[in-house]
Amino acid sequence: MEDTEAIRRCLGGERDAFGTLVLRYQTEAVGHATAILGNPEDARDAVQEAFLDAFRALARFDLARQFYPWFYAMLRNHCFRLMRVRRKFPAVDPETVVLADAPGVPIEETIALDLALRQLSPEEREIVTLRHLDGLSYQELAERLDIPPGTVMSRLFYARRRLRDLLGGPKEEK
Amino acid sequence: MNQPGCEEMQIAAMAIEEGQVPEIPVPLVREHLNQCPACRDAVTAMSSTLATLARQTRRRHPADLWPAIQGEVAPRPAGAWPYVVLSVLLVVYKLIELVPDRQWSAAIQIVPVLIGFGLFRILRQSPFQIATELRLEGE
Repeated sequence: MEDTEAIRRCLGGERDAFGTLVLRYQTEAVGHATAILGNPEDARDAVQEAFLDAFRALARFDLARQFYPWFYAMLRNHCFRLMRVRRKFPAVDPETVVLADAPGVPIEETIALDLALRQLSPEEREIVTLRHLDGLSYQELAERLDIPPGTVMSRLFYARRRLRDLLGGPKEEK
Repeated sequence: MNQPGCEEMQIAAMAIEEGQVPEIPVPLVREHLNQCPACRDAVTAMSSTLATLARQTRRRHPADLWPAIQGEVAPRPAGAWPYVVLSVLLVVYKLIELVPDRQWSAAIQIVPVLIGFGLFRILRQSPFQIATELRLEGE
């Protein structure tokens, strides 16, 4: 079932049609939320809340748009709200990883990069992973994050420079 | 426009490397990189970081959120409160009827009609409907 069909059915009273959207996007959403929050347990909570928000707001959804980018705006709101709470009560999760073992990539490289990613700010981690793990274009990033393309360029630059510094690259004089 | 500094040049250089068109003209960026070894080294180092990132994939965290979400989005029964409200209304109506020398008896005649209308609205079906569907025991 296509997204728009699922949404139409849901709006028509067939609430279980919303399950199609949840099942289709939950893993991707938890991955994205984990990249912001730094641990999958909090990420699952944020995703669940975001899906409930989406369900309540479904009547306002423009069927000409794609569902996931619309949903993502709610998801990142929940993630950053949760981050604010967690700053008061920081959750330490040493097991959390953003990256998967990739074939042909030394595990040491993946671990080092994962550790470096986790030291970035949530905003930096979000933009770097959306760009490099999901392959979003600059235009898509601008739409997804609701920022101008010029800001995408600079925000990506600072995030990647910080990542490079964390990975032990040469530091330039500022 | 002021002459862009090294940082602006590096931002522009990275954007160019990824096929973007920065605000600073491309020839100006290339010229700067040719003349500034620090910027050249910084861009080279960052490109190497990007190459490392390009080999990675996002870890998948399994999730099964639908059962919990389904419970939240399921329609909830109206509960007992509509009946409580209607009972209170009926009692109030009866008490008002007991007041002697009422002058507004015509207006009060409409109250049972309003209560009936309220029942239809809340239940979304006739409250006086008799279920005639045959159901077998244990079904």
